[in-house]
Amino acid sequence: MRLGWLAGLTLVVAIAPLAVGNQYYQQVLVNVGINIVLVLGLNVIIGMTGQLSLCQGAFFGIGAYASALLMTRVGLSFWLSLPLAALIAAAAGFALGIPALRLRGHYLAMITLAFAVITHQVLQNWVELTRGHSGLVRIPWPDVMAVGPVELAVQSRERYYLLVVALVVVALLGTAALQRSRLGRSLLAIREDEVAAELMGVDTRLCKLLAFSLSALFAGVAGSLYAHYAKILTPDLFGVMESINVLVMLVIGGAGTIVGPILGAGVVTVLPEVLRAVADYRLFIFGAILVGCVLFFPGGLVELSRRVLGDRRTTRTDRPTRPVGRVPAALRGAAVSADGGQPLLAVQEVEKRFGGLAAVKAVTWELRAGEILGLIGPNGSGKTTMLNLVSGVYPPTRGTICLDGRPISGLRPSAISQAGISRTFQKIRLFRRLTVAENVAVALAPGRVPKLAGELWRGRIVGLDPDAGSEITALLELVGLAHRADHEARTLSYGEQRLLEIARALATRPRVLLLDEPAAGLSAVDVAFLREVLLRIQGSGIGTVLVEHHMELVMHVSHRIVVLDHGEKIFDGAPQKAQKDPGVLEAYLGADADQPVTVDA
Amino acid sequence: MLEIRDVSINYDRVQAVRSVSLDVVPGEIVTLIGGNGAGKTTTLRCISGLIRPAGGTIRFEGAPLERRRPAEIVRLGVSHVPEGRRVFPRLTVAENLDLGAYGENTGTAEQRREAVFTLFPVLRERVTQLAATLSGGEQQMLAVGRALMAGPRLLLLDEPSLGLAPIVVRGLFQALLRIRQSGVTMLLVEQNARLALQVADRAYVLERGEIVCSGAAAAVAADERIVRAYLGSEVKTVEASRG
Repeated sequence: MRLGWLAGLTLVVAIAPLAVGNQYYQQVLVNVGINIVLVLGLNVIIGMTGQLSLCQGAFFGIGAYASALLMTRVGLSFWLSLPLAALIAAAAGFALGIPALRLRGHYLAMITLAFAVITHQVLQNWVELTRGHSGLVRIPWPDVMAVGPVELAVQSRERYYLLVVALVVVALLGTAALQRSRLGRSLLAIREDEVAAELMGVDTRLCKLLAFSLSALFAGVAGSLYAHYAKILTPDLFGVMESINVLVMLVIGGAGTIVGPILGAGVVTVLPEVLRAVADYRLFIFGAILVGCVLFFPGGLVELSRRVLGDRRTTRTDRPTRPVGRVPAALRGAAVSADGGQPLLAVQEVEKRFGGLAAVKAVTWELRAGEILGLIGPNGSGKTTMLNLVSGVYPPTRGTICLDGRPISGLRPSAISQAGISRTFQKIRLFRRLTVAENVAVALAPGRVPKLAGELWRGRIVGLDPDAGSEITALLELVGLAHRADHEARTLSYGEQRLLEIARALATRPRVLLLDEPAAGLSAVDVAFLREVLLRIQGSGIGTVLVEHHMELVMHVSHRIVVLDHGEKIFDGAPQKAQKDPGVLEAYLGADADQPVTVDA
Repeated sequence: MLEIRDVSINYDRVQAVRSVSLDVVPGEIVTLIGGNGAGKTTTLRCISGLIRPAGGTIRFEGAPLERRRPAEIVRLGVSHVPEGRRVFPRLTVAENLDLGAYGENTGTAEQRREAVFTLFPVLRERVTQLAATLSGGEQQMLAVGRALMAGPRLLLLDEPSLGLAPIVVRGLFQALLRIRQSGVTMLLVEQNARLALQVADRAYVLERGEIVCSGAAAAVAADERIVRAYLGSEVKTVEASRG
């Protein structure tokens, strides 16, 4: 159905200018096409992965020069030069990705900007290779290539236009496939919340490197296409402004979508042409449009159209009744394999210091399979720090944490997640603009190493295998959200978001589940429902650590209570004893002073 | 002096406070206590204009506060000592205090700074130090001192004892009593209930966004409901261990 649309549209676009026969329009459309590929590439790194990159123009230049030089100097066929140029650009993207991994936000923007400046300088000053300011001239048309009986001859502007259209379609299909692939979902998860993605088992370092490479790969293709059409390359075509220009196209169109780059590239390429009549005011009008767009439609033209048309994924619905389902069979299998006698999770003499401050001091506790352990304590007692230590957000200063007798302290969060410990967050960290089902799917991926090539090869680009689909459904039924599967996470009510976090955490098939204040902000009805869910999870043999201030819940659902105060364990035992323990009472209510506080004389 | 009527507050899509009413009379120390997540901080933030209430009225000396911006509320005479102190870490003690007197003339600021130094002599010794280099207790004194620089008639204190050693807390609470003697009224949010009840005249106990008990501090201290508010209702059977 969608493919039919695309095919029809492609045909119209391909034929239109041939029918008009106007060289000028054709040239504008070729530029639009090249820019679409370029922006689709930038969309991978900014729109999908959420990393601000300001050097798409540099990769564009690398691709263009590489393709032109491979053909003129090395004497390769265009049909080899184009993919090679794309790979060279991708390699540059990978190389840039390595230092960029450590950086976020404006620091990342700076380093990519620096890369754009350096690339420009290299193109200018490596005269033996690039001929500097004189530029490369007389770049040839693609050579004729025979594919079986068909001869690919693209040696006129009309033919070249068709080549551009064909590659734009390939780029669009590639982007669509990427979005639905496991890698694509992982990238979206990184964009939404990098820490949560890592904790759900996504290898964020590898994924970001792949995103940088893919982004540059698209730019390389666009560069090659540009070189053999324009026939002349000079360094100034690929300066910093070009990178900014590509960014503007993405922002105006709408990052993170497929239609956005098409709209953005179209508008930003065509608008200056239309405004030629008012040449003096061209930049002014263009700037005003940009400011207006950023102020009023930060999601770009795509968001504007969504607002006008309405989008089911982002509309809220009333809350229907929610059934409590069963824990999926796959989960139960995973949990029962744990040995009943030995503790599932053993935290021994664990200490965490931040500078001079000891947030957790030599704390020891254990968790058994099928147990709910309430981990409580006053504000600042070290509960969340403890969860962060167990889930690997930071390593302990001292002590060991063992899962099934194997030490896990010091592993990366994604490795700990894969080992069988999953968690939720005090402040909800869902992938807000992914659907409910996609949130679970990110965590579900069993191999978790992105296998884009493999998925494309087996034709499974449409998404998950059927088993995964049924597991997602089962998990959503467990928390009563099956009917919301296609809605974006941000449209859920607060209580539903908390429940979705639990479903997502369960999707990693954990043996230990760490819940950080799952009842915070929940209504009494929601808390009762949560309690049902907790008991079902416990029944499946998973060990649960419940950090919670809702004492009514924690005291009545936990088998055992561990109380922390000022980073030390002050109690470990049954809930009813905890409520009577003088130490616990003192931690919560304060000490009875031996002498009253008075004003000194 | 402060009159809160049926205030409800939604915070991050959650109804954090439900129909709370409370009064503070001039010269009193009133404490608002309760477990974590009870809505104490949210209530204070609402009084000082950092969050808008979803419903209800807040009046200070007769003037409605619900629609005012935080800076206006400070000028009306209500100062807020936020949870976690929030001193400006890379400014000196003197600069922190001066910022508290934002908009006042230099003479007034000078007088108030002297008053703060009399109250907390240690701040005078540290006057040129960066706030980040102070101990936790000294930072809390600085936060209180900074709030006093605006010359408030009502001081809102959010968990001043948080993270401080008992001996330091004791000194701080003695200072609060002296501040009261100088004519400043206080609304004190505390997790350390027993301590707060010692210095307060009256108390309100919040449990999950609702006031569950209130009255004279001594009476509240003896009330069973306060334990429930912190530790939940009594567990009679071990119902969960059936698994």
